Amino acid sequence: MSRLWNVFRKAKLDRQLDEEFRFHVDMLTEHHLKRGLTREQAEREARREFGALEAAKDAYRDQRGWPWLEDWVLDLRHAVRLLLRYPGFSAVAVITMALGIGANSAVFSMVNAAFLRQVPYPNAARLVDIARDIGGRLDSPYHNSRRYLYFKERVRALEEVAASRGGGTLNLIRNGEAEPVTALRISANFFRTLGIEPSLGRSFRQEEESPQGNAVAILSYSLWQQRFGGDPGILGQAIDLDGKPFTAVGVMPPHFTAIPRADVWIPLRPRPVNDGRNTLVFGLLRPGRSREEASREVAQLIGSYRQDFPGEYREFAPNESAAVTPFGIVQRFSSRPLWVLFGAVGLILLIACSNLANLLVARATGRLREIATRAALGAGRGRIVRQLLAESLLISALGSVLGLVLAAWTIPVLVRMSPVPLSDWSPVRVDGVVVGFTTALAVLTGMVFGLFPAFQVARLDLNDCMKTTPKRATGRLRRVIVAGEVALSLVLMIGAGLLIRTFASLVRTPLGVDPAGVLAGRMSLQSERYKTTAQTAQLFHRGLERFRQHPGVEAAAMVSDLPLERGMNLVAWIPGTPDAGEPKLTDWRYVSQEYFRLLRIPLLAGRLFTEADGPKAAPVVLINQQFARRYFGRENPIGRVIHVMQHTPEPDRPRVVVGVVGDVKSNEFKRAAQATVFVPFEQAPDGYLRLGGGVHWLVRSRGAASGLAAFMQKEMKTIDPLLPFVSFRTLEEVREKAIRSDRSMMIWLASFAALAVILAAVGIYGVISYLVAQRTNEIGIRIALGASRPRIVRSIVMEGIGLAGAGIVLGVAGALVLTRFLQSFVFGVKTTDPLTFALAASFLLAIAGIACLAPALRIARLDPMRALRAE
Amino acid sequence: MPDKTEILQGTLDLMVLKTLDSMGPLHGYGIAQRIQQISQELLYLNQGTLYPALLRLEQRGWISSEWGTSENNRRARYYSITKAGQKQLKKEVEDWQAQVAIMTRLLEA
Repeated sequence: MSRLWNVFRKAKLDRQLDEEFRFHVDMLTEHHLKRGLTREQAEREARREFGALEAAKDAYRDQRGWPWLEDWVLDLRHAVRLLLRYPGFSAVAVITMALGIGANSAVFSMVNAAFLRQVPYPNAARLVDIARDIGGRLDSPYHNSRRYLYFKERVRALEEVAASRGGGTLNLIRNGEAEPVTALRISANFFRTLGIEPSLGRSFRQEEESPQGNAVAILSYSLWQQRFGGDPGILGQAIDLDGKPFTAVGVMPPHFTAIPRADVWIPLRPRPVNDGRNTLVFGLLRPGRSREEASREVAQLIGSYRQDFPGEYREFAPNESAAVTPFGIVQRFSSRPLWVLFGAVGLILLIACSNLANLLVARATGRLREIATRAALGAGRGRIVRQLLAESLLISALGSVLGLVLAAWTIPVLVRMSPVPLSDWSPVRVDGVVVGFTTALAVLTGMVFGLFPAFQVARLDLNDCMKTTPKRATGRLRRVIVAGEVALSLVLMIGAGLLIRTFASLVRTPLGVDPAGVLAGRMSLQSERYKTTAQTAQLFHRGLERFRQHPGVEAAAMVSDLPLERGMNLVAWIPGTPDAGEPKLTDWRYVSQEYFRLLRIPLLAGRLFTEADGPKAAPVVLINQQFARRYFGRENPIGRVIHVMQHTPEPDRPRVVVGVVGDVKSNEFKRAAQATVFVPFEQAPDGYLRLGGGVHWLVRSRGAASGLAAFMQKEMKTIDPLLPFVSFRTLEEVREKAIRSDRSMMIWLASFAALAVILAAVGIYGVISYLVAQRTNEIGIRIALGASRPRIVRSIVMEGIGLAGAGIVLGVAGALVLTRFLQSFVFGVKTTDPLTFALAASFLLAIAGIACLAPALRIARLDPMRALRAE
Repeated sequence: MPDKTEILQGTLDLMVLKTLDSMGPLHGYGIAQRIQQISQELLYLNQGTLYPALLRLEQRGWISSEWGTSENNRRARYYSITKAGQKQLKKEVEDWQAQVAIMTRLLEA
């Protein structure tokens, strides 16, 4: 430790050292004088006995301080001076590094926010999800209630097994006013598993989870503050949710971040039945147990579960198992876009480093004389390499600081343009982890591009360099590097091009509906007053009729789930087909009569619903073209019967297909429409609305009518004041949301490609300038001898284009391999689309030509006499 | 005249500790002279190399140093052995003697 301190006390300690050595040598001289030598002889003898003075001092200093550190400090000071001496060069170098590293930091901060941060719960380290494992690929942690209870009873590696289920939007009724709140159904041990307890009152008890348990609720802090005035007397009081009373038993602490967000928590009440994959199951590892252990146990349990309930597996994947994964892996589903961006930004860093390597190599060759002098003065090869590394590390350090600043500055943009969903509890921030990552990157890149000039120099015979200015140091290494840069930027350009075409296809793709001018209002119908189909049907009829009164309303309709969004996933059986026993997955929507006309969905066969299709009439359905094609093939579906598996206690009635309508895209435009079945509201089974998130009222406006939302709300209040609208959206907005991710990805990749091209152009410019400078002599001679300047200019430009061409060939090969990673993103275009490749290559070639032109044109103004004189 | 041999680092440490233990505080020149004297000029000591060794011993806490005045009224740095150094000396002497005993047995066998 004192050695570190000694580094800073150098001057003082050196003086003492000098004094001590001088004393010793003087004493030796005295000794020899006494023996009778002359002063001159005595001094010489003394020196010889003592040994090489400077070497001794060095050895002493090495022992005393941290020579390693001291040398670095020296190197650093020298590097700083060098940087200041060539401000232009330094600026270019630092900015290039800043762009490269900054881009990486920016993307990494998003990766950090989306995937690396642990959830903000005390038990975060031991929290795990029990996810479905389909043939080795991890799927979501949603199961049916029967499985949840099965796991809960049997898993030993987990201390707790908890679950939650979306409770939808309920209407909190107070003082005659209704207000939508988000509800989450949770198991009794939900909060305990996370490691949090309500700050007021208590959590649910085990007996409250059973179907006969009391109706209790826990409130979120903000709900308690805003709606109940923060009154602690709320405990034990009943609150009215959609007509049902719930006793408030607890309030969560203010700092608790609910994931997913919820205003109120109510008990889960799981029954051991197969009620669809709607229950999120997670758990707490026992201390000392690993995830792998728990995973194995869970997989075994699924094995025995399958034996106990073989019927369930007819519907789902035959190779489905289960595994234990880190908590919150639900987010990691959509991870792909971010990793693609991460890869892209890594390529940019490579290009930036290549530019820097080239710059430094050029400068090193220019400094050969200086370096040779150092070598002559005793600096070993290692020392010289260290010096060059110090310079490159300084550049990368400065560049990374600037890059971090740039990244932090662009965070608002990053958040807006994020291709993956970001949560509020994990903000995108330049925090310790990001700084750490950036530092590591800076050191790594500094070493990598610093080693290039270092090796170049180390290989040369420094003796020769002392004598003359080295001539043709082969620019070969630099040319290879630039060709590589061109290749990388071509890969990025092609990627961007593919995404641009994908987006264009998405925008043009027919949706199956006409979304212009359609407003959708969402409403929750969990209330007791709308338990039966008759009650809901009456509400709908009245509401729709009222809405149609408005002159600005062209049409009004109802639907359970919006087009361009996912519907309910149910299973149907079709008797009379070869595989009648096999369940068929289908999308399922409840609609009012006007629905198809309003959305301009074409009728392809048969008829639409009419008033005659009432509750007493024969149950009918409409199917879409996808359903007809997939499940009926060439047969005529009209008049055929289908059965549906319901999640209500009573079995469903057989329904007759009366017509086929056009396909409508679901929320994933890139996929074909799902097989869908439409059922008129009047013929739905009782209580069907309990399943979903509510219903949507649709109106199509005539012309540019405004204020329709307010109108709808006003009308609805007169029909039923306790039924508020939860939200309003236009269908255009829905469509925008569906393609938002693709748009973001396109913009990101296009920006990266632009950056890469600029960097590559700079690189080409640099190399060609260097070549021209190298050959100034030769060119001067040729001009003096009468060669035509345009010819020479052309040959230089051709050389540059040839270089770019080599890079392009390499890039095409690379792109053919790498664009495979974009497979899941592209739509309407192949990842090996020749047009995109050709356009990108031509564009890059043109840019390369322009980059060559500037230095080449210098030749046009070259004065041959000066060229010949320059050495 | 036997060849002048170079001495190993460890042995140098032992010699310095022994010298300071028997002679008391000495400056660098004094230590060098004493070692040369005792070894009767058989050991060639590049006297400058003494100093890194002295520094190392000081860093390990086996000797300490202090500026004082020499016989001829000049400022010089004096080194003396510490308690820990004395313990270390004892240990090294034992190690050395054990080594010698083994070699002797080997050569006489």
